[in-house]
Amino acid sequence: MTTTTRHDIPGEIEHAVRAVSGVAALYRTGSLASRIVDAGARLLGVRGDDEPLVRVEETGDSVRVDAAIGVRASGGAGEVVRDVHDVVRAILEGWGFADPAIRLTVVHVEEEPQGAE
Amino acid sequence: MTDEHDSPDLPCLGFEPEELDGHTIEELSDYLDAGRSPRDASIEQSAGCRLALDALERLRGLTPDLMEADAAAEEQADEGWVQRILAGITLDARAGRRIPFRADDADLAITEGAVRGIVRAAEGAVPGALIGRCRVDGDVTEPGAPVRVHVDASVPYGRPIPDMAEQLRAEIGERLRRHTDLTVAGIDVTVHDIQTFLDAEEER
Amino acid sequence: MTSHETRPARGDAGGALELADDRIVAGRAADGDTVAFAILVRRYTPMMRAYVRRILPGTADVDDVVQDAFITAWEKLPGLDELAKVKSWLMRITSRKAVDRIRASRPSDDIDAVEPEAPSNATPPRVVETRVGVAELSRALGELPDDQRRCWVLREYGGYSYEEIADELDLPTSTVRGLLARARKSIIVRMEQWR
Repeated sequence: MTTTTRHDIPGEIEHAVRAVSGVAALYRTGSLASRIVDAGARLLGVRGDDEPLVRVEETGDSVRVDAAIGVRASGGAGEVVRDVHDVVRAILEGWGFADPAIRLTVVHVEEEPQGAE
Repeated sequence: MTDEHDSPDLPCLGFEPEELDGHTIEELSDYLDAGRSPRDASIEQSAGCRLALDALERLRGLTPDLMEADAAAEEQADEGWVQRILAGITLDARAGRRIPFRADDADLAITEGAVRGIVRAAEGAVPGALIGRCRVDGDVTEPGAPVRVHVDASVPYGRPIPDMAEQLRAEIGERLRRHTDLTVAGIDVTVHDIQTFLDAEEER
Repeated sequence: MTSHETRPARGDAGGALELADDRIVAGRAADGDTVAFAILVRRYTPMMRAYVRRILPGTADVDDVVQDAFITAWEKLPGLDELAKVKSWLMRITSRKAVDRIRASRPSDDIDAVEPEAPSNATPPRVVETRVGVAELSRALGELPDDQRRCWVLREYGGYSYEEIADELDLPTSTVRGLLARARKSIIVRMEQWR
């Protein structure tokens, strides 16, 4: 896709974030930020909406981006979220946004299934 | 009830004041609920009252069995019911505070809820152990502020408890280092429960 | 050294957790573990359904009330300090919800009035007899007027004090004392009659 309409930005960011090594999932943000906090929630299939999971708001000259991610336990949450930040920033700068406000929250750390002890 | 005497000569169970030496069933009921204390000599020395109290005590004694029978008469909760309940609860309440990562120009954080999940998963370090409640005390939103972590744990029978607690503590510490920028001043592992159920192997 | 494999063969925590102490399970649920909360739901649903059935006259609303109770329990669990007491804590929430339901369905009802002693359908579908007298007690309870039965159930099942019952049912404590005494007397008299 090579369209330049603004509403693709969330989708592009989401796609790129999922591709970052160590990212297990994206979750919904907003007023019910960090809705999903543990593995049990996956049983509920809460994420049914069509709305993009990454929230992008225009603020004057720039944008604010808000995303909630789950990371794999094998990476460090701090390292993974910094990698995600770098990727998101690169995309936004690519679109010409100087000085974006990026807010990322790790809401879940996914354990590897236990192997033989 | 005063009209079912088998024989006028034997003391019979009755609840009218004339059968209770002037006391009322309300008084006795109240006295029963107070655990028959402080001891009321007038009641305890009345045969009618004693009979009535015995009946009240017997009735009370049936309650646990009734409760058990009532619960047993109910269907077990099926998965449809469990899903119905889970669908009705909102999950965002547990996210807790936002715990920041060190970063110059971005707002990066991990939720308290995610941290508790990490801490809980530390139970894998001790086979059979379970971690219950996890509390993080301190200002987690302030970078560098020291925090203390408290957990409840249940461990299997067999190994020295301090060893298992230490192993859990070490695992929790390692996980917090790996996934957060918290300054952990201490980790308290309180073992409340030792699992004593036999496993199938030992029973044979 | 042989390892003590004290949990069932499944590799996930759910296996050992299913058998764990209330304090551990409730603690995890308080922290947001829905798997742990589901265990509490399975563990205490029959008890809570039974309790509601004794308090409410009909059987229609029982599951609604129990569901309400669990939803409130989920919300308030983080504030429960004595996690080991989660069972009695759940019972408290359950009776409150059941009484709320009564108030909601009959707002103008004078709960203080002595009702005719019509047989109510408050008995559970079947009574498992574990001891002589239980079946008779169950039957006698079913024949009590609602206000007497509720006082008895809150006192005996719920462990409420007279003041707490008075609070819950919006009655003077003296009325509660009277209803309780009458309930006990009626039960004993009926049970004696059936012997």
